[in-house]
Amino acid sequence: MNERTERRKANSADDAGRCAQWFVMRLYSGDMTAADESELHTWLAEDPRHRQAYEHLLHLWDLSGDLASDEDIGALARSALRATTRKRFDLRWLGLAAAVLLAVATGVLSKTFLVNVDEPQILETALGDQQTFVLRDGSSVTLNSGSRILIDFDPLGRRILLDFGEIFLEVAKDPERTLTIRAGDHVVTALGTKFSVHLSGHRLEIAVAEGRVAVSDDNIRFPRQTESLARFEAGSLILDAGSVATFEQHQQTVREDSIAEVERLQSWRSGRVRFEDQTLMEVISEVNRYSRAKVLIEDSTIADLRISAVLNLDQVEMTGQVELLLSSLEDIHPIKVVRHPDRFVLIANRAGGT
Amino acid sequence: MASNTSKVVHFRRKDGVSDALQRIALEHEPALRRFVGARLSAHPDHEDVVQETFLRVARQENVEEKLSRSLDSVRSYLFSIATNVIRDRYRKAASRRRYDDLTRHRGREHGMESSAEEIVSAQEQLRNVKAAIMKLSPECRDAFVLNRFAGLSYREVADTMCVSVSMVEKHIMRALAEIRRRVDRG
Repeated sequence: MNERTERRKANSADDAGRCAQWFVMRLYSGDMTAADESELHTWLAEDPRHRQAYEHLLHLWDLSGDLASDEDIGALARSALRATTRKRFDLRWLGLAAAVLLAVATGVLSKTFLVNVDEPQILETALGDQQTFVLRDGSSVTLNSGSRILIDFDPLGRRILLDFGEIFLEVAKDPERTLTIRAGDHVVTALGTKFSVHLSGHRLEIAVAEGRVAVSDDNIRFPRQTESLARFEAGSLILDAGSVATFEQHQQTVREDSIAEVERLQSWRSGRVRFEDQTLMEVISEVNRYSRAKVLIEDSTIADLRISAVLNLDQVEMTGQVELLLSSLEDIHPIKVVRHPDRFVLIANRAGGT
Repeated sequence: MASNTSKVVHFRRKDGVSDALQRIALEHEPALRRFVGARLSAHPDHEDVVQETFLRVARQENVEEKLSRSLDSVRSYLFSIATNVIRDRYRKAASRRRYDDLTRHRGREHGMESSAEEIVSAQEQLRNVKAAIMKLSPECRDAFVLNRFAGLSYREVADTMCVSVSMVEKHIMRALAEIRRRVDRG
């Protein structure tokens, strides 16, 4: 399954209390999968002490909720919120441009344009840029860094061609005219919904935040996988809110109930890209989508390092965000960054001894 | 154990429930059902709890505003309401049983506690929970407090503290461990 499940399995030899902690934490993440759920029930049935530990911890979790009206706890919550605001101000001390603060203050990064769609139009964004376009029908489309689309609306239908890059859509309902997005050899159909589509070479990724979308394929009908939870209607694959689907060559994967993943994949809209336990290779190829100064990995031994990090997107290059991210990686991981005027090269830092 | 009946929650207009709520019900109902199933693995009436959760949400003030936040925030909010529903229903019966289990687990004599003692015990537990929270490391305490008492989802806590979500998850588990240790020690 996923990383987390693996990690829990590794822990299962430990005491029941630690497993209970993991299950309660997962339960309240809002991101519990069907696999997690069946794992929980199996674990509970294994040993009466498991259930005891679990119920006991749930009881303590609930009990802690009663402290919401406690004065000391209230003061802690307020100071935790204040402390984090202070931390953001400290960033300026560290030499980060005021632009970051501005992005935090306004929460708005991309510019918004009103687009007349009477005639087919091409919209595109440069590297490091993001733009939101509000369309005549009330829908809006946000283009991430380095993306291009063709919009073609007429009384018969609403069509968008995603040439390359990534878009996020908020589709206005119109039962008469469905909105379709063509990306490579796939067609994505939406009726009043919020989702993102990312085309990179032959790899297509769709993440649904709200409502549902249907995906169909030009060449072949989707194989009906028996073990998959995916549903099909009239030859189309149906994706519900919280689903992430990936299509690559002849491979397709659908992960349902992955809202944390959907949020992460769409985090670029709020001005930052979040990496959670991903390989350095994945992180770098994502970073390169936003930066003109490319990052290269010149040592295959570090390509699979697991990385968690955040990249601030606001004026990526002007404010040296990529460099900031790389130097923070340098601090924690056995990586050395070699800086060139137009590129960064990552090599293994063997002297580090980590 | 987990029955997969996919009964769709249905609201009538006269319940005063808006479109937003109907949409939220469609989007979060499977996750909510899973949540309730995992919380009440030993009880059969999951469906009632799911229904009551949505009805309680509908009665909240500023429902529209609360439900217009991001997906994980709304889910986090629904789960906290569902937790309240569960607590209200099972508070008496379950706390009795859990307390007995706990004392038996610790090897004390059991079955003799009066309800007055039980109340005292709950108050003592709460004092211990608070003491454990106050003694957490600052980062761990901030993460737990922001999640539990400022109503932020793990992702929101991560964004607020400028750390990764997996870090927040570790803080939550650490906080639970400390609370349990403190309470069990008495």
